[in-house]
Amino acid sequence: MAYLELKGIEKFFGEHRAIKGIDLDIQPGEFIVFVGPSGCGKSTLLRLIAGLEHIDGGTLRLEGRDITHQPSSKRDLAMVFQSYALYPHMSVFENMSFALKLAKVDPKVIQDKVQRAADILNLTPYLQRTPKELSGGQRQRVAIGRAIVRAPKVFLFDEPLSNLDAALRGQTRVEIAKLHRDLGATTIYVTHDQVEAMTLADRVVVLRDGVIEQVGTPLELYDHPANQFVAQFIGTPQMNVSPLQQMPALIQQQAPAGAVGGSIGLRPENVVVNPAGRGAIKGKVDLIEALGAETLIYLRTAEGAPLVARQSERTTLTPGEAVTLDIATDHAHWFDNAGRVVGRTAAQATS
Amino acid sequence: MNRLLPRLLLTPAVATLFLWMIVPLVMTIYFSLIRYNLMQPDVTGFAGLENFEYFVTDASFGTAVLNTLLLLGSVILITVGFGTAIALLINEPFAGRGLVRVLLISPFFVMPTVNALLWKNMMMNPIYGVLAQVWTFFGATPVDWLTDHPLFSIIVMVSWQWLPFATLIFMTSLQSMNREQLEAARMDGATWLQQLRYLYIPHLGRSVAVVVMIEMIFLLSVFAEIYTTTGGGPGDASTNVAFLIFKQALLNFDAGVASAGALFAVVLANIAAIFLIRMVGKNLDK
Amino acid sequence: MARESTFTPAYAVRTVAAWAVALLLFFPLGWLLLTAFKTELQAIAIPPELFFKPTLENFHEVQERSDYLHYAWNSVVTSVVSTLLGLAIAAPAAYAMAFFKGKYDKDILMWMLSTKMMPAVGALVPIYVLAQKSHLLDTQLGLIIVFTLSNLPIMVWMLYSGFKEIPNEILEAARMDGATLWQEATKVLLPLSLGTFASTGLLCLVLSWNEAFWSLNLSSAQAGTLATLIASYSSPEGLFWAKLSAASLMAIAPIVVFGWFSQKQLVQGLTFGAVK
Repeated sequence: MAYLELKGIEKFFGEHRAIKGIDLDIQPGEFIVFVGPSGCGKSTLLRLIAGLEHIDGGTLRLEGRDITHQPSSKRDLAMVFQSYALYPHMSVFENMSFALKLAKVDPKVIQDKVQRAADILNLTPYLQRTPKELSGGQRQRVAIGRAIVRAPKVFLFDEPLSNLDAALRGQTRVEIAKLHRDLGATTIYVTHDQVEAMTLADRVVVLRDGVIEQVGTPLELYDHPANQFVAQFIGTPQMNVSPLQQMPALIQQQAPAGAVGGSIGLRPENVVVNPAGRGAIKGKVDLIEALGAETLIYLRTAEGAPLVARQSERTTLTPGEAVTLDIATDHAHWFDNAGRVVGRTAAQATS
Repeated sequence: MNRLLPRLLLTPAVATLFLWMIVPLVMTIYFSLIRYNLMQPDVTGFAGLENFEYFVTDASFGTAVLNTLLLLGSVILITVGFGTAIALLINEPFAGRGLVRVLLISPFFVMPTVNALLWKNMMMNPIYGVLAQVWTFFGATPVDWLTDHPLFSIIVMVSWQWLPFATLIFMTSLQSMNREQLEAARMDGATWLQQLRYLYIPHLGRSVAVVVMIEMIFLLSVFAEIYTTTGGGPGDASTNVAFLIFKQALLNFDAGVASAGALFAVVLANIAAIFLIRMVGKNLDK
Repeated sequence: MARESTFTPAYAVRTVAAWAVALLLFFPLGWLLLTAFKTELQAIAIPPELFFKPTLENFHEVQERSDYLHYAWNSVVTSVVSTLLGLAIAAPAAYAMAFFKGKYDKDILMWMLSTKMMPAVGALVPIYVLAQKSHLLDTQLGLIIVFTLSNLPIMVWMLYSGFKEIPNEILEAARMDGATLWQEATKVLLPLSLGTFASTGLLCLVLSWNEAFWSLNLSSAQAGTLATLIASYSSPEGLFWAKLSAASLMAIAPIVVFGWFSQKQLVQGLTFGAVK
């Protein structure tokens, strides 16, 4: 039995059906990431699990117990809010010990637990400060500390890194990953940033419009997206998806039957750019982005399809130059006209 | 449980305010339609529109309405006019601005009865009052303000009391002006008068509207000053609608007629209130 | 924005003008202040004396008049109790509207504000009759009820505005930490909104203390407030201006000072937030 089980979860805001029947099984110790564009319902889903919003349909079970209609205070879940939501009138120590105090835990035990969490998060020098006196990064750690101290059944993170600057974001991401490795707690993490999803998750849940598009490990989603939306959501730069008509006849002939009238998806690393005259597929360079460790080449095929190619070598190509392309069609993803993946060989079957 | 709790929490406030609103209203309507004199409890019966007629045809009615409008209009003009001027004057920093603000605001917090007596005795007394002294100093005969110009005296007292309110509102509004807009105008070469016309005045427009409406509502009930100084007189020269109702109710003990008058005052106030509510409502949407 | 010199002629003119206006407008109060420390003879001196030896005899005399203390006590009791009672009723309502998204919240709030917008004189007759019938005329309780209800809309409005400033997420965090509604309210909301309660209370204290319309009409010897007492001095009883000034000064001084501290609340509360 799953540790946390969602069955047919639904949520209405007035007439609008925001969450349209979500089924999900989460195993103990898993790091699950909810990812998707704005408005897809990922935060709403998290809040439903937390008990901060009312579940309109379906059931939610934790360790077999039905908690669908239990109030937040009884669910034994801890949440790290996007804005940290620290108690402004309490010191860091009091913030972190608040839940335990409410549960009437022995003060010595509280002291011990808070101290340990503070050590893990490097907060010991700040225990007597109030949130006003802390930087953004420190506040975030206090928010995390507050959750750790409680040793809840599940940790819930609501876009915890979005209020941090870029440098701090990368750093904190690593810290969160290490924390999970050390504590092994079941975690649900919401983000709109697919890099966070790819790096932190054991499994990723891609949501759109209140529906799960796909669930899988990060690499499963990368290599075998179930549809065009997931394919283009995961991976930077975005996967090249071009209508088949804009592809040279050579490529079109290799498309499986179901993909006629649909599109082809190519990861930038699967588009190899060669100097003119080397291959059958012709193109012209639009723009070069030299990022140092890799180079992105924006080009257009003779048939008009825009493509982005990625390579680790530097290039001497210039905008306007003619080039030829090698396209590895056995790494291509074929989509029908509704965006669904169409399989060609066993190797390309969806997971 | 989720819906029940907030309703429970709201109940005491809503219930009490509802009673506070409905009960007097219903009673007033009822009284205005019957014969009810507190001194003559045995005179009863349906009076129809008699009370209204009586109130409206009272010799003092026309004067009272006129006085009310004059009072309202004058005080509003004075407070808005001077209030804006003063607010603009002290908008930019200068030495001792904090203290000046404190001095300017003080009259608003003075009890209306103290206000009234202060002016009646200290300022307006024709022999010992400060104004009289000043008049004599310049060789003119002192004016007996309360006897010769009763309504004007009341207007002065009430304006003095409400000027700080208007000034404070305008000061607050000016503080929220977009500094960058002003700087841009200055760089564009706008003179102070032009800035006034195109930037300050439009921005103040909204708070002027609010001040006018609030004053309309509260000034309709000007009572304490009249009660304490002129008693509505001489004759009915300084009687306003509120005082007239009071006279009917607590001097003539005619609750019926007073109620009819009260409904009249309520209708007047409603007109202002409707606009104010709409403006507040728009604000709540933010 | 840098200026070359702060002391331009425009600055000087403005400073002088501002001070002139302020002193002129404050003058009546200032004169009251001075007269309170004069003897009766000095008070009616012609020309008026600006420099004199101040005396406290007026204050002593007013203090000795037990009826002054009686009225002052009534003012204190009616203002304080009505403010506390009002806060007790308004707080739950403001809480409900600020943190539970009801469909009709905005309408309820506007309706509450509209009850404040009716002129008091419109309710004079029925309230008087009711008070008379329930033997509440000239009682502290009667005045307390009327003051509480008069100020309730403003209190709900100001508490509501204050509560809305507290991010909802902080209360949600408390919920996740296991707090019951009561704990949420007392351990998190209350400490964070103490300022709001204080300033709302202060403003309503000022409004109740100065309340003259209902005091004059519903009370006299027993429950009369200072407003009533001062009004009763209105008949010209001869030379008592110094004492009158002293009495008035004592009646208004604390409130004027409170008023200085509640300017912002005044703007928020009396314009119902229409001016920021």
